[in-house]
Amino acid sequence: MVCRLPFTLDWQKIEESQIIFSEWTVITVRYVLFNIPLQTIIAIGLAILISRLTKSTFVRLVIFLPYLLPMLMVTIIWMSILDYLTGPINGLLKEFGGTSAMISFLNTQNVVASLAWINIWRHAGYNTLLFFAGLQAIPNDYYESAALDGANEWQLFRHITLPLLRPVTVFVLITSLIGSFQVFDSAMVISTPAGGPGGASRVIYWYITSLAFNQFKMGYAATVAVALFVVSMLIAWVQLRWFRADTSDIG
Amino acid sequence: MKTRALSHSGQNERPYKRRPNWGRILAWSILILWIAITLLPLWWVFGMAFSTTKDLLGNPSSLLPIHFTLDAFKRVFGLVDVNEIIIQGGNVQKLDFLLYFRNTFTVTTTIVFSGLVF
Repeated sequence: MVCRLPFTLDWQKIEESQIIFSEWTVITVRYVLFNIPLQTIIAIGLAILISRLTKSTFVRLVIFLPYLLPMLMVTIIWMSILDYLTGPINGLLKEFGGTSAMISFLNTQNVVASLAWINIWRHAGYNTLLFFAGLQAIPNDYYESAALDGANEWQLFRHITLPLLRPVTVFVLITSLIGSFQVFDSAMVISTPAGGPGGASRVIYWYITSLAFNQFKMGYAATVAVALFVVSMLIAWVQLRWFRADTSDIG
Repeated sequence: MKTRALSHSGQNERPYKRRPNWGRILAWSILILWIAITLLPLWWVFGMAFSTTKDLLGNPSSLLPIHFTLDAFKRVFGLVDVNEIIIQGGNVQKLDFLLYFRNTFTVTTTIVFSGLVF
């Protein structure tokens, strides 16, 4: 009696799907790498600017404003701004540089960078708010005593501000990393016009939904979702350990 | 002994006029640049909302509406009939913003209420 598996493994299909899976993963990782460092740097910079330069509520409101808009709306707005033929940016470039200076922001090469910029535009304000709250928790005495010892601005930032912002930085990095891995709505909307960059903006989440609802392979979709979950947990754990988030340098 | 650092607790209070501090100017220009980047898309969308469809297609990258019009608003609220929509150009579809708003309102109040009570 030969015992057989209750199902057969179709190696061809598994190999194909692995190739596709790695392509979608590469696109997502590229997106995350464009997105997160720039977003965090802009957020820290803006937080320091608004805590040092001005107490104006108007400025703080304006900086936080993009987060209040739904992601879909932000994507549509930016799609119309970055459009090759009818967007104002390309209109300006054409005025000053001729037709060769126009940049196609939404073609297959640049769409990941455009997606990253849209995400940065929306989330920088939110992260700025978090960093700002963290900045308020740093006592002024540290700055004053360091200034008395003759530290310039950059040294103040590097040796006082950054280390004392560690818990907030961990939180911001974890939430924005995990959120970036789960990008979906903007990637989907950017690819909807006819002839849109269908291949170049496929992210993991989209792979999951297309498996589940187009190809009806619910089991496989669930597996990919669980894999994404495990990866997110791993990233969060690594960050918590690396940044020593359970200790703080204040006090 | 003179401290060189900027005070962190607010504006500097000095009675005499200071030389332009280039660091401050740079910082302010970065801030104003970011505020402009934040507000320009919203301004653009407002401009689009108040322009006619023909203007959008013909002269798309101007920041101010060329012919100020409330046509788009009328269409969204469902106050315009089909022939006028065809004249204005665009998708002929009955939109009823108040219905959508009512649905969203229902969902939101239910969620908030349940969140408070349970």
